[in-house]
Amino acid sequence: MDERTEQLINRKLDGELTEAEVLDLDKQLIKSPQARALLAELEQNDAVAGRVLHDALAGKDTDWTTAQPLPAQHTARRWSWNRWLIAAAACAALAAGLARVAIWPGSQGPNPDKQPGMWVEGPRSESGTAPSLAADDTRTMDAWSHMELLDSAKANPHRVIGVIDEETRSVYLLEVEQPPLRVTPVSVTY
Amino acid sequence: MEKHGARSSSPATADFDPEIPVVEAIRHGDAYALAELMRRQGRWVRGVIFAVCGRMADVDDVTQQVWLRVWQEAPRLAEPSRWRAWLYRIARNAAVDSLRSRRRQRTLVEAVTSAGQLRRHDEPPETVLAGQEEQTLVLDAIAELPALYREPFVLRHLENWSYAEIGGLLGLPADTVETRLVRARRKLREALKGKT
Repeated sequence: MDERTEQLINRKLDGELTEAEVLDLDKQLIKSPQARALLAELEQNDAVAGRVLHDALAGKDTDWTTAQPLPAQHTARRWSWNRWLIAAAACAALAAGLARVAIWPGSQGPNPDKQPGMWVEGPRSESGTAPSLAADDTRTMDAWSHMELLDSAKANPHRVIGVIDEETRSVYLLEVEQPPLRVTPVSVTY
Repeated sequence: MEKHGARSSSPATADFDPEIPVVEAIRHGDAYALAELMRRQGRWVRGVIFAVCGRMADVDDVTQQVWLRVWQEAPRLAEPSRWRAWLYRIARNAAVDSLRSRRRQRTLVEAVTSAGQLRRHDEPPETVLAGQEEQTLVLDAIAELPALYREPFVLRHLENWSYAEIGGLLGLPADTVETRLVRARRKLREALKGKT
């Protein structure tokens, strides 16, 4: 018996025969005793398998849901990676914005007359949150110097000192508290 | 041919899916809706678990895990209209987890006992078959089918779903479902020859 006939028999058992296939299979069944035997055997196997599976797997699941308290449902949606990425980008943008406001009050940038290099300013103004630019407290430095900054901080009650490195386009923020003296460096690349 | 099981839970594409309100109710914390969904859809879920695990003894435990997960995860179901694929994925994952756990346990047991001593298939066939009822014989034969064939075979015989319906659930083309059913029947015929 060819595979086509076996396929037709299977399609008949599954209820998938087209009208043309019904006629085709009928012809095969008339002329082939093996096809008839296979159909009878597969019909019997299908009937037994269906009955056995039905008996074994019939639902008995409804009892326990009301017999015992169900656990709490998960209500919060998990954050996907792109949500975390967006949140991180928002935080970075906020930090950069705050740093810019702290260094450059209003819309002013650094003094264009200054030499390229390090630039320091302070103290914070009394009225606003951003530090005001006072001539005495603003100077250009040749290089990064912790000691000089600390000395400056001790001499003046600065709360925020900003250092701009124009070559690397970086802003360094030093938050200074007195007393006690504590310097917290923060680096922002803009 | 005798038909077992109504097609009420058929995944056919209908204009109105009566299960969507039930799923919505579960999402809002209605335990009775969960019991209703279990009553309506429990059979094929159990069929999937049996088809994946290949062992009837695992079905009850895994089924309970599945429905607990359904209950817990329902509020996170973004598209209630796709509940069937979601439920299938939960059932299949739970069954696969159970299967892996059982394999690990078996490896451990076999490591500390003599090789294959506890495996029933090492017993003489006469001993195994003697006194076995038809149900056990047929279930064992189905369980011995390759896993690829077992799933469509169980769904077809349990729910009378069409090739397209089974393929829709399993993510397979209808042709593939048909081929797997033909091969499953061929293997089952060999396994049951002269025994039923």
